[in-house]
This record gives sequence, C-alpha cells and structure tokens, in this order.
Amino acid sequence: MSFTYFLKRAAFAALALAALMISAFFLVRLTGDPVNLYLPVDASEAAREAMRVRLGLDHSLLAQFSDWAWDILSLDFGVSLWHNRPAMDVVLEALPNTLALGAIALALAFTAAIVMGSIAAVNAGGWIDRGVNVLSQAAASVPDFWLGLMGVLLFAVTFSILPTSGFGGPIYWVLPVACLFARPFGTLVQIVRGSMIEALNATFVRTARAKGARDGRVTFVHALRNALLPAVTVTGDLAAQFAGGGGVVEVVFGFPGIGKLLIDGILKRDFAIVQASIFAVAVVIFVINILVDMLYGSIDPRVRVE
Amino acid sequence: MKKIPAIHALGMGVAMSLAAGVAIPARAAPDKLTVVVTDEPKSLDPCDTDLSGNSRILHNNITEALVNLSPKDGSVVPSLATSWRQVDSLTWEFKLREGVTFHDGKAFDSSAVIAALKRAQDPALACEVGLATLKGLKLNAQIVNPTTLLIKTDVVEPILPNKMSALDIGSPATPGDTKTRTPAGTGPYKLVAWTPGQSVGLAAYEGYWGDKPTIPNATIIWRAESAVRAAMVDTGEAQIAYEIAPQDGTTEQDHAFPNAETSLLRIDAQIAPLNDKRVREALNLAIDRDGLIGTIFHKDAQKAMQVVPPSVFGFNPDIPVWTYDPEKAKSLLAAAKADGVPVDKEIVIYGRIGIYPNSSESLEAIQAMLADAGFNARLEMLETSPWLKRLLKPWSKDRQPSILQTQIDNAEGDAVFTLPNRFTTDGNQSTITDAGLDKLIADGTKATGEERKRLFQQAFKYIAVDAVNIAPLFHMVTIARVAKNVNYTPDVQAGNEIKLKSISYR
Amino acid sequence: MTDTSSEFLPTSERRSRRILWLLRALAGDPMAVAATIWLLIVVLAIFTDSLSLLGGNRISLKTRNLPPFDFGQSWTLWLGADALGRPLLVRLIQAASTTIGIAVVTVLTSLIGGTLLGVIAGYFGGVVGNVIMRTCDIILGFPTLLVALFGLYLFGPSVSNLVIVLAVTRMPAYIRVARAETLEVRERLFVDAARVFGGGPKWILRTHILPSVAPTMLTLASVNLAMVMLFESGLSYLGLGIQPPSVSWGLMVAQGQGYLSSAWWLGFFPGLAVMLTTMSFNLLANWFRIVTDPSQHWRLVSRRR
Repeated sequence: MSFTYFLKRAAFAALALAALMISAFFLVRLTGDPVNLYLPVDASEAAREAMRVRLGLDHSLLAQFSDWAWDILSLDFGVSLWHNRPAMDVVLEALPNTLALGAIALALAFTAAIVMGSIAAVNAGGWIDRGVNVLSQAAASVPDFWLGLMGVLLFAVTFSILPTSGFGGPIYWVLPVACLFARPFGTLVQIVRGSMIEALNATFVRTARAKGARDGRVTFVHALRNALLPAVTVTGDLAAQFAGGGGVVEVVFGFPGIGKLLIDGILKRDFAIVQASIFAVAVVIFVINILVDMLYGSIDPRVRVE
Repeated sequence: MKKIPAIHALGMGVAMSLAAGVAIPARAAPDKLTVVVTDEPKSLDPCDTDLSGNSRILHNNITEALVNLSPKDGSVVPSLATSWRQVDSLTWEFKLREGVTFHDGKAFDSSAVIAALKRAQDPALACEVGLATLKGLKLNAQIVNPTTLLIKTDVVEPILPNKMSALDIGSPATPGDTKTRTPAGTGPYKLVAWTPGQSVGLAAYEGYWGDKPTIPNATIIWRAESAVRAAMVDTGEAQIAYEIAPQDGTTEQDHAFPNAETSLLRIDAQIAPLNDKRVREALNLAIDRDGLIGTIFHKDAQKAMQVVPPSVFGFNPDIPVWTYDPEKAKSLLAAAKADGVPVDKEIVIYGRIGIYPNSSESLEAIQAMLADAGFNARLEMLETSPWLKRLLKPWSKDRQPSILQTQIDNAEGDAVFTLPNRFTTDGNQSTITDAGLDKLIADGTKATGEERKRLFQQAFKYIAVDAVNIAPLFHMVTIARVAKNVNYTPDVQAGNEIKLKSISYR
Repeated sequence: MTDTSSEFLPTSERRSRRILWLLRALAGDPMAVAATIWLLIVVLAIFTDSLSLLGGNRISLKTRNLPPFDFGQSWTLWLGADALGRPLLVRLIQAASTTIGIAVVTVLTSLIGGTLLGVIAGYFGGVVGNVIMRTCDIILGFPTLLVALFGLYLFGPSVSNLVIVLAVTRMPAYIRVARAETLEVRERLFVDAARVFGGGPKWILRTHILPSVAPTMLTLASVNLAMVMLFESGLSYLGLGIQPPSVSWGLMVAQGQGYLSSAWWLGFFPGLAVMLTTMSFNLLANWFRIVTDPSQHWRLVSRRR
C-alpha cells in the first residue's frame, strides 16, 4: 500500500471525523441541560445558574461551539462532569478493555468458524453439515444480552463456577467473551461454509480432479483460500462494530469498557465523555479499516489497492 | 493441516484458565471485608457527603463530623465535638475533642474545622453539603482556642447541631480549588485506593482516636443489578450487599429495615382536573395500598400519610390512613364532573426508571387501579434527566395534568429538611400555593422544642387532609444481605452510612 | 427444473405452476420449512390477539410470578405469569405484534428509502450522488447505538421515533448496495439499448434498473429484519426503546432481569422468542437467496441427496 494512498485515506477520514464530532457536539447539547443531574434536588436556582455559568452553558450555542472547537483542535477534550477527571484519561482507561474483549471474541469466533465451516462444507448434505447449519443459525440469531443473563443465571447463580460480573483475572472475561462470540461465530460459519461449498464444486476443482489430482489437501486449501476473503471482510465489519462497544453486553456484566462508558455518558449528559469516546472510537475504526484492507491485499493479490 | 494443533492448543488454554479461575475468591479471610452497593460514588470529597453514594463510603469511615445523629431517635450525639451549647440566638459554641489527627498527619483543631466549613460553603466548588443541608444559611466561625470555636449564623437556626452532622471534616491540606479524590479525614479507616469503575479500598488507620475497628481491610464495589448483588454474597464474592429487591431478599440472610424513604405520587394540583380537591381525594381512594404491600412493595413497608417516616421530629401519628374505596372515588369523580370539572382529561403518570425496586411495576399496577376508578391515566416512564425536569420548577403554563412518582428521604431527623422545598409557594418542587401553609412552615422553622413539633405536625396534617396535593404511598423498607459469618445488623441509617467499624466476623 | 415451455400456458396455469414450484423448493430445505411454520404460528397468534380472542390481560397481584409448566391452570398460564400476574403467554403474543411490527415497518422504510437513494446516487452520480454517499459515510461512522440513544433522547422514546431512528441507521447499508448494483447494471448493454431507443431516465429506472436491483435488496432486507429485531430488543433492554405499559420482547427480557434468580421464566421465554423469530427470518432469507439465484436451484429441487 503506497504512502499517498494512505495519506488520501487519512485525509478523508479526518474530514469524516470532523463532521462526526460537530454533529455530536450539537446532538449532545440538544438532549438537555446536565446541571440538574449534578446538583442535589434541593439546590437553589441561584446555585444552578452559578453552575451553568461555570460550565459555560449560559453562552450562546455558537459561542460554546467556537470555544469547544478551539479546545478540540488542541486535543483538549475537557473534564468529565461525572468522573471529575480529564475526559480523555477516562476514555483511554476504558478503551483497551473493549478492544481486548472484542479482539479475543473475534479471534475465537474466526478460528472456530473456519474449523466448523470447513468440516461442514466437506460433509455437505450430511448430518454434521445440518447440525452445524442449525447451530450457526441459532448462534447468529441470539440476542447477546439475553445470552449474557442466561449465562449469569446458569454458571454464576446456579452452578457458581463463574463470577457474576466485574473485572479482574481471566475468569471475569469468560462470560462476556462467550456472549460476544456467539453472533460473529454464527455469521462467519455461514459464510465460510457457503463459499467453501461453492468453491469445492467450482470448475477448476472439478478439472483438477478430472485430471487425476488427489482429493483433499490441494482442493481443500484452494477452497479455504476462497472463503477467507469474505470471512475477513465480515470480520473487519464486526471489528468496527465491536470497537463502538458491545455496549449492551458491557452493561450486563459491569465490564468497564467504552460501550458502557458511552451509554453512561449519554444518560448522565456528560458531554466531555461522549465526545472523547466518539473520537477514540472513530480513530479505532479508521485503523481497523486500513488494517483490513492491507490484510485483504495480502490474501488476494488481485485486490491489492494502489 | 496446521489448524488442528492450533485447536488443541486453544482448547487446552481455555480449559487451563477455567481451572485456574475456578478457585473463585473463596470466603474472604477474616482480615478483609467486601461490601457491594448499587453504584460508584460520584466523588470522595468530604464536602459532598450529602449524596448517599458518597457518604456511604466516607461518613464515619474515612471522615467524621462534629456530631452524629442517633439512629434510635435522631438526637444529636458527640463525635469530633465533645459538647456544645447555644450562647445566644445566633451563636453556638462547640468544644472539640483532643488528641485527634488526620490521616495525613495534620492536627485536628478549630482552624481545621473553620477551613472545612469555609470550603463547604464556597460557591465555586459547588459542594453538595453547601448546596443542600447548609443552603440559605451563612455560617461564620471564630476560633476561641484550638479546642473551642464559635459558629455564628445569620438567621436563627435552632437545629444548627443537627446540621453540623452533615459536615464531614477533611484535612486542612485538602485543595481549595478542586474536589479531591484522595480524602484525608480523622476516621477509623484511611483510603488506600480508588480504582475508577471498579472499587474503593480502605485500610484501618493506626492513629484513630476511638476504638480500633476489628476488620483491617475493606473493599467497596458496585453492581447495578439486585439479583447480582444478592448472588455475590452467596458465592462469597462479597459479605454484605445493599438494596436487594423484595423478590430477591427472601432468605434468612436478608435483613429488612426502614430506610427513611417515603414513596409517594406528587399531584400537580395547579392544573385541571387535578385542581379540584374531590378529584385528588378520588385519586387517593382508588389506590389499593394493602394490595401492593407484600407483592410489589416489601411486606414490612408501612402505609404512609405524610412524607417523613416516624423517626423524624415533627411526624404526626394521628392522621387517619386512606382507605381503599373505589366506589367512593367513582362517586367523587361523578360529582366533580357534574360541576363541569374535566375529569375525562388524560392524566400522565410520570415515573422514574429505577427510583426504587419494582418502580415501573408499581406504576403499572397503580395505573390499572386508577383506570378502574374511572380516571383516564397514561403511564410514561422517564430517565433521570427528563424526570428531574418535571420535578423541578420552572414548568410550562399549559402542561398536561400529571402525577409524578417520587421518593423523599429524611435521614437528618427534622421536618425542616423536607417541608420548605416541597410544600411552600416558593419551593422549587412545590405544586401548592397556600399562604396559610407557608406561614405554618415558616413559624415551625424558627420555633424550638414542643412548639416546633406541634407546628410541623399541624403542617403535615394540613397537607394530608386539607391540601391533598400528594398521594402518599409507603414508608419504605430496604433489604441488605449479610453473609452468615459476619456480625452486622443494619439500622435506619444504613442507607447512607456503612458503619464499617461496627462490623466483625463471628 | 422449471419447465420453460410454461411461457406458453395461460397466466393462471403459469401462476399455479410457479406456486407449486416454490412449494417444492421450500420442501427442499427443511430448515426453511421449520422457519415458515414458526412464523405462521406467530402471525396466527398476532391475528388472534388483534381480534381480542385471547381474553383477559388483567393485572392480578395474587398470581404474581406464577411458575410455568403447571398444567392444572388455564392454558394461558402454562408459561407462567409475569411480575404483575398477567399470563406470560398472552404477554408474549402482545409483545410479538409490537416487536415484529416495528421490525417490518423499519425494514420497509429503509428498504424503500435506501433503494431509491442508492439507485439515484448510482444512476445519476454527480454532486447529488456524492452528497448521498458522504452522508452515508458519516452515519456509518457513528456507532449505531449512539445514534439511537441520541435520537430517542432528543425526541422521546415513542414507537414512531424508534422506527425512524432504526430505519435511518440501517439505510446506509441499503444505499451502498443499491448504488453498487446500479453502477453494475447501468453499464450493461440492454440499458444502453434502451437509451438508444429513446427511453427517459425515469422509465429506464423503473423497467430495467429497479428489477435488476430488487432481488439483492430484498435479500438484504430479509437479513436486516433479524438485525432490527435484535437491535430493538437491545434498546428496549437499555430502557430507550419501548416503554411500559407497551410491551416488546426486548422490554420483557429487561424486566425479567430483576427476577433472574427468583422467576427465571420472565426473561427466558421472551429471549427465546426473539431468538426463534430471528432465526426464522434468517433461514427464510437464506432460502430466498437461493430461490432467486437460478444457478443454486439444484440445492432445493434436485432429486439427488
């Protein structure tokens, strides 16, 4: 991938990011006045006014906008109302957790899908194939928060072999990863199986067989290669989605990731957190997209972008 | 194929980590206690302890106040101050305890108290204590000597000592321009670490002036779900869990106790048809309170006729409780309708999601009861922020008639903390405009002793029977789950204060 | 295989042959059959509910949280009762109409809107096309949950706002696909020929472009149906979707969360319903994709097994 291409992509991404941040600015401020949430209900009107002045909320929207734009350009995302710390610090603490969670879940899903999808494709029409088909369809259709709750009920409350929620060693990750794993696994199995079946029946394979080439290794690898491309594309899409946070799953498990941070930030009208989160997530998505493109190019030379 | 070995490795890895982690945090060793609450404290600054989320962790654990309120009768007992007296109508004298130090080594004396007081009232800091409990009161403190100080008020304040129980004293080294995340107080525990989003860790303070606590280490964690909190005590992940919902709190480890909250529906008595007293009475008669107890609300909840619980000074025990009489409600509505009151107009019930356990269900049940009695009631559940907008003035002139689900707590023990904001003409949450009631409340605020009690009781009776701008529901009960090997009985203040130094292992 | 000589038969015969063929194709995929059966049950249930044949839905605090599988009770209570004593089965059916209704309306809106915008962007290109595509990129840049939260906070969580928000966040996907397909078709010979024959853009769009684009868009829609259902469930779970006293499956799961250890059926059955319905939509979408692609028909109607 050439440097100029990268620059072009980056430039466009910067533009999109700017548009995103500006829309976010107005949207968040239109959702209402945070002051009431941060003062006791008994506080006097004078105290509320004083807080509004301190937060700069008494200025006109345009004035607030220019102040904010200036700050953003120097990468100052302001102080979180709820956490009383610089917003970007809070976001940078939460982001790695979400990324790790998503990465683990996707890696497991991808690997498992390749394995299961190939097995099913080789066995096309047979009982294993049907079983895998049903299993993957079910996995792709399950609501993740429901799976999470049932998981908590079964493994934590009834059998007590996993903790109910929280954050810490590997055992706290088992249930959240399992929840996030289900849908990508289901979708990817379908894709891998589908494209492998097509590939295994494709002309070039039949030709190779007709010419006497042995079944097995060669055809299998060819078919697998064929299936990798769509699988990688979909995984890239899913990665971008996960970057925004499996917010709902994080809420169920109290997992301190960016999805939960964002949801809490919106519910608590914490402008700084919301803006900082959107920014961080957008940057991550951009990086993921570039990586996927590069991966694409290395798998299939025809698709290399210049 | 390279794939197979990878799968083997993966499987082994997962199995091993599961096995390693299966040794779940076993019952905590006797030198460690874990407590799980509903959410993370907003701040650990000593001047923010008006918020229960903060005071739970700070009050009487990390920081202390000059006085405490007794959980039995709300009377004022010594803490950092050993005695106090009223010098004249505007001045009080406090004598401070000697030999007390802050966690950072600074000495506790009059100047420390004055610094804390000034800080709490600083408008730029927007401290909870200054904005709520100490609102409208200008306090001026003077040092007499290191163990004696005078506090002057600008208006007569007969319950100044009560109010002093809300002011936690932090070290004089606490920064005056921002809220602190590392409070240093005089309490039995000092802050070890606050891991944002996860936990707060405390450890016993060697130099504490009183009896040392039995458990040297405590950790406070938070989970939003009641079932999860309850389960954590069962699995040994925590020893004490607060705010367990009634349906989860049915084992013998669950202790139900009154939590000084009263649930009610605030009627917007300024908009038709709710501005007709008969309609408001009908509303109260249509609600089957007994049917709600033991089902949606805990069986120990008490039917309420006023918005403060029996432990508050000014509580009136002689107000007759509303009966459940849907027929009478219907006839009252018919009478009002005959006089031209628009009883068929849609009334909105505004609820707040999560305000207490089963809050949405209670409103669904109430809405069905109102519909049965002939009301045209629609339910709308709201998030905290839009709900606050409906709770607090200003309101738009042509708003829809509404009743608002709300809850009032009074752990400070005096009716003055509840009445003015909610029932006077200028109160920022008040839907009532009644000059007589205003005078009653104002007189009560200035009075002392029996006179004060009488005036407040009169006010409550007036609100319940004459004004009827509320549909009081219940004096609420909350449930805490305590592990079998822990010695702890929650009292009425447990919602705002986790009394760590009184907890021990059996 | 399809009998090509059927072109010469009268229309009604053609139609019944086609229907017969479709049924055979359906029978060729047992999963699709199961999906169809489930969906028919759901539709039937919604229908009976709309005719109020299901009887009482009274709140009865006495039967609060009644456990399921007690066949001594009336049939409506066989799945237990919810936190206010209402029969869970009846609640599930009422929630079905809300959940599926929202999903269908949302998908139709984004399908129609997305196809139109995508075709316009693809066929005409230029400034209009660019504007449409950039707006798509921006919307895609927002995490969907965020847009939903904003929209619902701003405008209030009503059913219509929920539909609008979900439709708008889903639309960019449709627009992109429609545009890509249009670009491909636009360059084909028959379109050129049509232009040579003097066909105006509207006519070309209607008779050539849209029909070519349609199958892909419909497949996308059927897959999206499942996604929208899951999304609505998630939003209701967070408290920003359907509000009480209306009910949807997602909301029922949210309400059941508080009763996880005391009344597991409150959250289990609605979640199961979401899963089965989503799965049925996906399976039918799968089947539909195969049906619309003649090169795949061998999977469904061949006699080889």
